[in-house]
Amino acid sequence: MAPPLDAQTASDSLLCDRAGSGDNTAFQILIQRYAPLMRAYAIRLLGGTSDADDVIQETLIKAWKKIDTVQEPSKVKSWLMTLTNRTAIDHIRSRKVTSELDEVLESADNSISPEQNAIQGSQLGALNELLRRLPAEQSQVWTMREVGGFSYKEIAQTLQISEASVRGRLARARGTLIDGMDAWK
Amino acid sequence: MMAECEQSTTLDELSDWLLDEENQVETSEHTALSAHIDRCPICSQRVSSLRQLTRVTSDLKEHDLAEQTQDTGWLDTILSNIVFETRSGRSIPLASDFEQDSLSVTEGAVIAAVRSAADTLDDVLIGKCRLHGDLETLGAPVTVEVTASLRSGGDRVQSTIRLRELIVAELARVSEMNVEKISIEFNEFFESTGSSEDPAKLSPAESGVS
Repeated sequence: MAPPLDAQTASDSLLCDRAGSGDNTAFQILIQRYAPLMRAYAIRLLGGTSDADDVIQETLIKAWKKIDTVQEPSKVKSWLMTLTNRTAIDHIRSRKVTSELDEVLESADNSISPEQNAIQGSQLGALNELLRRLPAEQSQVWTMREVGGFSYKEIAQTLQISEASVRGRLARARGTLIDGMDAWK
Repeated sequence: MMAECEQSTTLDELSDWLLDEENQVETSEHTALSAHIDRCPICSQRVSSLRQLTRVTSDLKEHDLAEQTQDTGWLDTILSNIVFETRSGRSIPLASDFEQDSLSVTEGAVIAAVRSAADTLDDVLIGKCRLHGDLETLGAPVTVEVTASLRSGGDRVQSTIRLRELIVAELARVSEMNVEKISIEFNEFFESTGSSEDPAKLSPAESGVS
């Protein structure tokens, strides 16, 4: 008897192949493995847990439906992150959050969690604070590039803007962040 | 706002230079910019600031992830709201003794049966399992494509033979498909604990069955 699927050690490739062939258990193991990363990213991009959870739920449903189309099973983590990213951006678009995001971020400022309190006063806290204050369009691009690890091309395609615009927004975001970090020192 | 250097080097260029440094890219442009950074205090300071930002960003990502893994109750809540419907796939006809009857089995059920049968083997964990061909026409030729993980030290030839026999028997048990070919590819090894690692392509084994 072959060993049962081991959640700790089964490879992404095997789990993706099995999930793509309809194995719900393999899919659930994959989700347990990567949902925290997906949610952490979605929260950064959307600025709150409520929207992020909606996005994660929608992403998981899409992932189950489409996982049989994954071309490179060993890269299923990247595939899941791309799906999360696109779903989050669609979510922002559908709610026209570009202007609302600033409000969301402002309200998030007023309800700092204990975990966030713990990092206040540190460099981490300074960066966290600076990110909250960035204009939404810069914050999105910075998060996609630096947290999500997406290429300029992927970001441009997802946001339907030029690569030059991506570079411009990113440079402005970096400029603000390093100025802010230097001032914090 | 930072002052601009004599060469008007942008933050974008310095960010790309840093990325090239990390990836050990050595182009003439990179070398030229390295020389400039060495003698330009403004760019040198900016690079130092960018490095610091990279470090703190990495810490932030770790912190964010740790927060999500600490308590995964949120995932339980999300999963409780989702029904992952079984993928039934195509409808595979079965012969009937009565004209009025229309019997069939779903593609998803057949694949699940093959997977369950294959999981009874000691040295094999089946991965992908696909059925190719006109499944909805009784008697049409069908090809079965399977990828699998082989236990480290396992006998590939024997495992292939046993897996093929099991698949043939299981397909005959649950369907009446005209299976012309079964393609088996072992594309990974797994350790005895159940781990699958060191992906290594082994030669695919294709066999005709009749």
